[in-house]
Amino acid sequence: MKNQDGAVTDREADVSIKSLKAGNVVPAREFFDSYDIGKAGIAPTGGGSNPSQVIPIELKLLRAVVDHPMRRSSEYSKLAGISPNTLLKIRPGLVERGFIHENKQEAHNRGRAAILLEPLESAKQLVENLEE
Amino acid sequence: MRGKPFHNLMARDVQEIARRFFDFTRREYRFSKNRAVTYLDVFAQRGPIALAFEIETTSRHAVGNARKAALVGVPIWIIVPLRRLKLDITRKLAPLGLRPGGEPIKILLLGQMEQELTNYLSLNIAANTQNGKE
Repeated sequence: MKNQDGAVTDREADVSIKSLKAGNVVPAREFFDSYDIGKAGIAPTGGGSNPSQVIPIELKLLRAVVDHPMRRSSEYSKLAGISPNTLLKIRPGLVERGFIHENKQEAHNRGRAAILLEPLESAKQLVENLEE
Repeated sequence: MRGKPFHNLMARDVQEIARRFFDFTRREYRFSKNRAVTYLDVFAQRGPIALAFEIETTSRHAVGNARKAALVGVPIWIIVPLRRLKLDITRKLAPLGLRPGGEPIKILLLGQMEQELTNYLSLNIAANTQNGKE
């Protein structure tokens, strides 16, 4: 039913929202390239270990993990040249997409566990392919 | 080595610590005794004192490794990365009452190993035993 101003009806609005909800949102690569992830507080969505889905900042971290495996996660911010906050934000995405594996190690009876990052085969291949 | 990278890293660290206390240390050491053969993650020896170290990153093989150590009669210490895992393995081994080499199985975090070795060796070296004083 149209309203008095001839604007969009409730039904039309509902239909338009449906298509938005059902649609698969694909993050544009250019968007990630032009924003600092740490400041914007965003993370790319998952979906396979496709090189095109790895943004430059993630690649920096992957390269550091492949070159220096099994170090404490805190060490990688220096090795990769990224801020600790950025590292904290992009790490779960790389774990989820099967690039790296987190190994937790508690040295003593108290305190937080250290997280040691292990590069998986997909990360090694990706870094190798990009270097060729 | 046969294990995964994390396991191998821990084995390397365990050997590094053991090297400070023992004259002889080896990784993936083939040990045979009582007509049984087993491979130990780290084996360490100093005179008559021998110790086996098994690194467990899951509780899956803990019981099997403890039984193997009991079979060949060598005291075994299990080194784990997490407190939770330590508790799991302790619960699994407790009902079995295994005493490989006549000693209780110790389950430790990597950071506890050095202190435990200091205590263990101070109690076992000849100078501190009853026989050594005689």
